[in-house]
Amino acid sequence: MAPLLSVEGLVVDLPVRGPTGRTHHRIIDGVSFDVAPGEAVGLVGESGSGKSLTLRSVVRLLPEGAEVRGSLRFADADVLTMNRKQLNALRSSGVATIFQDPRAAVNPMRTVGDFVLEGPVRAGGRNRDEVLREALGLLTDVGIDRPEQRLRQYPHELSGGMLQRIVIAAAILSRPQLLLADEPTTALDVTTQSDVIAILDEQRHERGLAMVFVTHDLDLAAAICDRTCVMYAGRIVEDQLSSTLHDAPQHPYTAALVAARPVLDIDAGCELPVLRAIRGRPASAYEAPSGCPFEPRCNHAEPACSATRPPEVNSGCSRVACFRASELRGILALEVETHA
Amino acid sequence: MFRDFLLPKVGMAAITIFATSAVVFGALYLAPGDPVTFLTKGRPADPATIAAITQQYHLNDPLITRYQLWVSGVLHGDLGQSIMFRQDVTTLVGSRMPTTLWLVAMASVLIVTVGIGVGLFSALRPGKLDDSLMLGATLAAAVPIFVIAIALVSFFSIRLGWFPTFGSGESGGFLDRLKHLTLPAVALAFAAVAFVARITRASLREEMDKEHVRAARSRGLASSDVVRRHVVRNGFAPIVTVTGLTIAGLFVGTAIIEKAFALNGIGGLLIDAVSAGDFPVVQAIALLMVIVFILTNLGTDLLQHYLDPRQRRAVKE
Amino acid sequence: MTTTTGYQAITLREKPTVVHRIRGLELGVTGWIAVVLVVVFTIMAIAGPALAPHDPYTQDLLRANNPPAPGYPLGFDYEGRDILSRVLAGARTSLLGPLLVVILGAALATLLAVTAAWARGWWDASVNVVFDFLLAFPGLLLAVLSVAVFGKGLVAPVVALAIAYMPAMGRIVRSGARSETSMDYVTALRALGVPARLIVFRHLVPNVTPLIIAQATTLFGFALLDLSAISFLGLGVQEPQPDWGLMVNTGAAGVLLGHPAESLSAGTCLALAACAFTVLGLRLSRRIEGR
Repeated sequence: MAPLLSVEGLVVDLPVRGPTGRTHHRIIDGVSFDVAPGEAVGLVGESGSGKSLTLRSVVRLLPEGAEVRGSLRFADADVLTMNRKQLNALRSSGVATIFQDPRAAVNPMRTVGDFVLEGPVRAGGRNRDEVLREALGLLTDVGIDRPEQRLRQYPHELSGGMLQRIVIAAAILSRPQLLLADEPTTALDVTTQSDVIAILDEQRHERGLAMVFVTHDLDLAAAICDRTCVMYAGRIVEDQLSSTLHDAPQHPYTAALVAARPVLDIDAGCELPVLRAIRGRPASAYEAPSGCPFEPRCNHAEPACSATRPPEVNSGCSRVACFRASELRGILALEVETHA
Repeated sequence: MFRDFLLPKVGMAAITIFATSAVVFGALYLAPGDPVTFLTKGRPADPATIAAITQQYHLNDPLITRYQLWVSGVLHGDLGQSIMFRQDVTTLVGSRMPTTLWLVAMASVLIVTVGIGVGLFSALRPGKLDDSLMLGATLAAAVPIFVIAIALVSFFSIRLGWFPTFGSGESGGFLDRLKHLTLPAVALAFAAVAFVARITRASLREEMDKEHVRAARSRGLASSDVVRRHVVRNGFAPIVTVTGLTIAGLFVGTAIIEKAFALNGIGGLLIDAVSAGDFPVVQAIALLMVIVFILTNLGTDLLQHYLDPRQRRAVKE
Repeated sequence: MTTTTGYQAITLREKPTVVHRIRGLELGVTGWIAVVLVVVFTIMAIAGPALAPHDPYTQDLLRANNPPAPGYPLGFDYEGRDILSRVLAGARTSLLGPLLVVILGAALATLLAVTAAWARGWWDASVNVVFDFLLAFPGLLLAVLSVAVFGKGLVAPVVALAIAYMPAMGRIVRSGARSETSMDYVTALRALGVPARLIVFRHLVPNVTPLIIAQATTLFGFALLDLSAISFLGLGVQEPQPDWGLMVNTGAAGVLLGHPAESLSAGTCLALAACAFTVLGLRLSRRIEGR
């Protein structure tokens, strides 16, 4: 089946104002991945890895002065060469974005109803009454009680969790084929996070929507995504089925991420959670060394790792960018296992 | 709404006006020397004049009684007698009022249209033109308005002969007045236009960088819709405040402009009265200007409150 | 040994030199032009009267409003005095007034704001009420009122403007000092038993000084505008003393005769000085905010 979204060799440079005038910093350095219709792909990485920017590139929602190269195709249309009108059509009906913090993403000066209806009516050109009827049904589906009243309220009168459900409903209301979710639960209370994730997952499955889900939480990505791409320094270092990523990581960085999760050792009684931090600081693409970007922090690095950039190697339904991937396979699995 | 917001705001404005009246009234007694000598400008006065002044200012009564009498006079529209014009201050100020109001109204129109217009244009079209417009605005806001006045007269009236040099043209019709007051209004509004343009641009730019604007873009909304419904709507509140404050400040600026263009409004009258030591006139105009300033501030506050639903509802809860 | 190199790199770094510090200001081209202008005007204010080629007070009614002549590049004013000499000599009176306004205003504002931020409670509340009340008075109006009461000249307007500008500076200093008092080092000093007076003046005040300097630079520009307006209106500096604001006024007669040199040269000086201080103040504030 032809992919719905196909990203190939995406490179994004952002303008920065330095002491010597304007320069560009590379944030995304050659990212490629496909999303099939109805498939959910997770983009996982630390802050600065370029995962959010990759997501925003899909609908060309980039800061002023950003330079983009590579290829970005949605339903066989070239996104990077679209004109304003085509781009707005893509944004209004093809792809819908769910942002991290609903408080920031919904205009505080306008009513919730204005936010919900604005997309389909103003951008999508659909009949207002019809959209309203559909919206009321959708809001009930995502667990909003008294939807008519909610639509008349202002964002600050609703809880963050409720607002994010409304944002999800508004995204679905535009009848997209692809959902882009940018850490949609990070800004919410812990208690409502799982509810919102459950609703997102349910709605997506019900409608067969594809999704790109950005998070720093490996477990969360594994739980709701078919495939997970692990990003580091503006590159995808590993792309695997979520079901096997956990037990058989192929890249040392993925293994380190798995091992760095806090785990309560139930058998040993009430001991402190075991935390294994990754030494060093995450690097951005523009400050990464010329070889493997993870080499300075990697426990398995060899002199060869710092010489050239490791190519992405496909094997079956996985892809990894590490020189030592094949020889490390058993060791990494063991590392993860002793931890868990 | 009324008890939690309106009442404190109005109350605060009332208290400030009250305190201001005390300062304006008390200023007379801050002056070095005895009030009679001050009011007669130290000129030897015959007993009849002294008696008249003593009577008019109730100088034999205690200070607090004098203040009460003065306030009740002010509330009844009695602002005393002008020493310089030997005329009722209320009538005098009233007759000078139209010129000043015209001037402020014309300058306000310029500030709202040109100031906000340039700011809007600049905010929406980043680039070289925007940068130079803003540098120009920064510089323009720092040029003294009397220098602008002289430069305008020197160029448009003397060199080109397009506008009359002096006078407010009140004897003529509407167009004559407009023609006479154009240069003064431009001079009065000049720095304010630049200031409002800068604030407008800054406020809109700040709004453009917000996540909700990005979210609106991500939904495929047309640029014009994004700007109108999100950027301008949200950036409007601070613009309203600054524009209101700037317009309130214009009244004091009329003192400079009316002197520079020899107009007979209350600003010029204030300066003449200060020069001539005509204290009742000074008191009346100072009080009037501060009250207008405070009331404009209050009005701006209320408008701001109405414009921002977060304030509106937060108070209600 | 690899872990220690990081520390060495930090400790061995050179101390910032003057050049580094000036570069660190990141003023931009307009900012540097403003700095140059401020330096030029400072020199004029100090040495202006000495630089004047002729006596700024010598009248000669025969050459009143005469155009430029050899040795008199700007021509003569309405009393036949050399305009260039009066512009140079006028720098001192024109710039000294705003300087006094800023120093007096900054001193008052800092004293009130820092003690308010430190003591909180009723003192903080009263300082706030005073600031709020003063904000209801436009500075120029207070200055005009002060002339009405205390007579013409610079003294009353300078004091009045210092008081009128106090809240603008006081509020910024107060919030700066407030966030400073809630820092750990202040708690630590208190715990060590260091007297409040010492903490306030040895630690709090120096730490809000950059804020005060940036704000004072901006307010200098405003004070220059307001004080020159007072002189322009004939309420401040009096003839025959040279002053830019006053010269714009006395030159107005020349403007009508098509001889605007006096008004325009004095006005240009005022405008340039006010622009320079405003731009510099903005740049400095932006720099401090960005820190």
